[in-house]
Amino acid sequence: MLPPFEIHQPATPAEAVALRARHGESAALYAGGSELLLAMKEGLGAVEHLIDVKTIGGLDTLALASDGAALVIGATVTHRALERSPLLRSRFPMLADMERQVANVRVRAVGTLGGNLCFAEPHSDPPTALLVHEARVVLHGGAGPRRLALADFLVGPYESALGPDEILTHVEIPLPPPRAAAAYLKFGLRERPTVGVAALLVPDVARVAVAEARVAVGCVGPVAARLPEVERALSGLPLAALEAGWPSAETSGERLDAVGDLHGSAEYKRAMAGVFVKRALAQAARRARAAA
Amino acid sequence: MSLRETIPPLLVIPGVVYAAPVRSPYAHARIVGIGRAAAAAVPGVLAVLAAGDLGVLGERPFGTFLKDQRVLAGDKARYEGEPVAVVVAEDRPTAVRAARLVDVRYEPLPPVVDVERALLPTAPLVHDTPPPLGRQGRWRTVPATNICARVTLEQGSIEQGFREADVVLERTYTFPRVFHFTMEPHGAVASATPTELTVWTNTGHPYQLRQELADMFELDLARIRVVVPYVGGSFGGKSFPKLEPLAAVVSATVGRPVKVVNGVEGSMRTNRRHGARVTVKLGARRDGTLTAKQARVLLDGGAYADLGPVVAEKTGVRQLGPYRVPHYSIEVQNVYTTTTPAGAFRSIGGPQSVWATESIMDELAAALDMDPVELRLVNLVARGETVRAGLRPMDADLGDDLKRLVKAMDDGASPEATGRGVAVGISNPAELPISTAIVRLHYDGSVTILCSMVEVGQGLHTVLAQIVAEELGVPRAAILVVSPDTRFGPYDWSSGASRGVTIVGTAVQRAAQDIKAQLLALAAETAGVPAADAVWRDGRVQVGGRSLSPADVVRGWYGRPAGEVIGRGYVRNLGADPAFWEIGMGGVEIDVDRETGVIRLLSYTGLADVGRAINPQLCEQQDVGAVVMGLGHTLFEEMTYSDSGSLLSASMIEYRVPLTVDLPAALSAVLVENGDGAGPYGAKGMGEGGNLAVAPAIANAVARATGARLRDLPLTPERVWAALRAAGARTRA
Repeated sequence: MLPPFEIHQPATPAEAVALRARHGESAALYAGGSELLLAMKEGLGAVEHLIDVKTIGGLDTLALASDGAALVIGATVTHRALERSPLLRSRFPMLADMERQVANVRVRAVGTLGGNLCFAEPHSDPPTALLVHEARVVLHGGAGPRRLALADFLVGPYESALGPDEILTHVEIPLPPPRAAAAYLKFGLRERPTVGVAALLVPDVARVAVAEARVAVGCVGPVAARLPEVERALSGLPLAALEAGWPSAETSGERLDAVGDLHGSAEYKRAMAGVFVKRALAQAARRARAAA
Repeated sequence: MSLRETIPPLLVIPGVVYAAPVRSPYAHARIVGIGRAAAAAVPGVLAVLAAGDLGVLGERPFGTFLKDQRVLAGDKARYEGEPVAVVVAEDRPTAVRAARLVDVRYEPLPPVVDVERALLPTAPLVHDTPPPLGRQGRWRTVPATNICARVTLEQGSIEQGFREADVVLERTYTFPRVFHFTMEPHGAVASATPTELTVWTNTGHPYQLRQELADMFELDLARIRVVVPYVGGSFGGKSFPKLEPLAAVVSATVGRPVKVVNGVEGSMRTNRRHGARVTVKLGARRDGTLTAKQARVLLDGGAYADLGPVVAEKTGVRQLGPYRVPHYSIEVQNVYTTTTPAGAFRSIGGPQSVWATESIMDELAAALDMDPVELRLVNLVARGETVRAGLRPMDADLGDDLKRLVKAMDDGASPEATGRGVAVGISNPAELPISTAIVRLHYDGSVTILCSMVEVGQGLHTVLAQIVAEELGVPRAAILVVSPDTRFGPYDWSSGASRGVTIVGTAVQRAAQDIKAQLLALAAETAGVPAADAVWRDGRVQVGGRSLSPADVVRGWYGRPAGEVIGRGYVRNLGADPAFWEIGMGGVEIDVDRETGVIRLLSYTGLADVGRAINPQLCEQQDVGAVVMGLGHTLFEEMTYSDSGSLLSASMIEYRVPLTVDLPAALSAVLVENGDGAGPYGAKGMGEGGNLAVAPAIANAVARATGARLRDLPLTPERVWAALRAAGARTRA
């Protein structure tokens, strides 16, 4: 049962920022509400003011930047809109595929990408997938906008680098390098995944070997993270070997900062990270070769 | 359904107020004080009530088998989520919000979360004093222990039996605490006056509830009215009193009609299935003949007895399995713990028992190097053979049933399968075959059926109408089945134990036959001929050269379009206990993802021996539905508690039930119809048996596919993965 609250509907980021400053910890930013309203119904926190960012102009953007170098996703764009976006499907097919797998259709219909990143639920799909795309977030505060790499924005479980006087307005995703192919795989029994793995491979011109590899694992630890050692080890490997299943991938989760919980023990999560890194690399390698 | 009814959460009663429970955050804690001021100050709040504010009604214990529960915890809370106070307000949001402001001061006590530790001499006692027996109680608690009920079954000499064995296996299997997850949570509205009490509720047991409320309020049965609309699923979770005593006592206290409804999280703190730890020892000769069985079962009964003593009793019989065992010794203990109370759940003690008995049969087959089906065929009791002295002899051909199951599996075999498993379950359901029915034939030929077993989605009303249509030759569309209202309807024992068609169906059939007999007498009297000259043929009365419809007879006798004929049907036993043996077999084909431990279900074939399928589609859907429910406790479901006794999987986000994506690629039910049941037209009951075989069949298939034997449910990917690693390590060693 929802407690009583006052809803504020700012028209600009500056108004939203001012509302945050005025109401402090009794206020919460409200986009889709798929996490926030659940918490409020459970009686968690003491939220008395909802700052509805959906009324802010321009936050529903879903388009390429004017210079064509990045995709810009406004903070209030829903998972459902992303899943169905022709632009995402053609330019970032892995992200569209990932969005299609987020929670369930009711959550996707109202939940937003911006809200998801700000809530920083550790068992979540989008951060993992966005990390291999080297996404940035655009934050708007009293001192104006600033850009932050997603890796720096994600601080810990339910904790982001969003300042108390800031709102997230956009997510920017650079266009991937030519020939890049990616895959996102999730695994788990419950509503939220036990492990999520994203792999992005940039093949050489001949599409034979790996020129650049990006691998990220989420849900296993407190925060989704890239695996730089695995990425280095992949450099130069033949795509065909990855497609057949790269045995070394199986140990790639061993050094993860895994947290045991209802979704699995730390040991199992590390092992599954390895299995799904292998499978995601195989899928990405297949796509990278097939794109010729 | 031709009649629109409203479920309790939607039911509007003039003047109703809302009571929101304040639930204990501790599994076990003494209640030191209740701070009411902040909650009472909220506008719209009428009362903040703790046990001490309810007078004698707050002190009076209830419980159909052991009177160990009170509407609000008084001295101490015995599980996390137990109601310790209520806030009564004009509307529900206000009541819920104000409930969060009640300041209950607790002195935490050590929790009792594990059944084995609950039996240690040092274990804290969940109940400090032995509770009195309830109206239907037979089993007493063991004083100064946490043993709620202890049941033993013995035959022959197990020492001798194990001496005669060539192979003896001893294994321990565990079964999780699981939640019913009905689509509609518990809900009740009560209106108490000094001389009458009315309760609208989604109970499965209107007449058991009537007795409990009559005892609490010291009113005659006639002054207790329990009204039950269509119910959004029960599976046993709405059996016996749940929220109704609280609603009734609060209504009596505040002098207004009171509504109490649960969300899913509240229902997870209201009732669940017994977890079980079963240690079974089985002896057999080299040819597979069983010689002895010993079983020690600990049932995790939670904080209050509810149906627990009966669950223990039924578990005892269900541990025997469908096999000839000359020597056995079974001990079942239902144990109090500081967790959600456990009660009835689709075949009480059945899935827990069959999980152990049918897993060890496959382990024995492996030890004897025998085919698991062959081992079963050697030992299955034959028709007419004794399962347990004093109970109805076996009334089915189990060997034929098992062969039909295997044939059906062979016919649909999947080329991708790497393992296959079967399991055979039997249970003794149809607890106390006491029921009554009233059938009213109106002068326009339409019919009203009054019976008091609850339509919880199982299709009972459909089948009862079919029975009356068959008996009276009345079109199905002209028959209305009315939901229970104890003010007008006839008595029935309970809604459960697969008893609907067999027992309630017999009562309704007898009521319809009573109408037929009356119609013949009335038609003869109207025609002025001897009674024997009126005969029934093809749904009509033939008398004096005329052919009369049932409605013609009614109008003819009354002499005008008026009046009705009332038929009555009584059932007090159906020859022997149980009224029938419920047979539930299952076979599964699987593949295992060895890297992740995920079990992929390729096909599941259920078999139900139903005597006569009065409505084959409903029977198939019941069996398949029970299989899907069984997939829950087999693969996913577990109410996980922390060491301190907090329920960790307390929402539908964390508590995983089967989804459509989890269904086997092929899922079907074989119905065996030998016309040999004690119910109408040779029908037996069904609907519970389908979930008996699921877990052992799947674990047996995993063992055959991989060599890894799992003995703890649910078979989560992580458990399977760990078992595969352990089996791999053993192979390498």
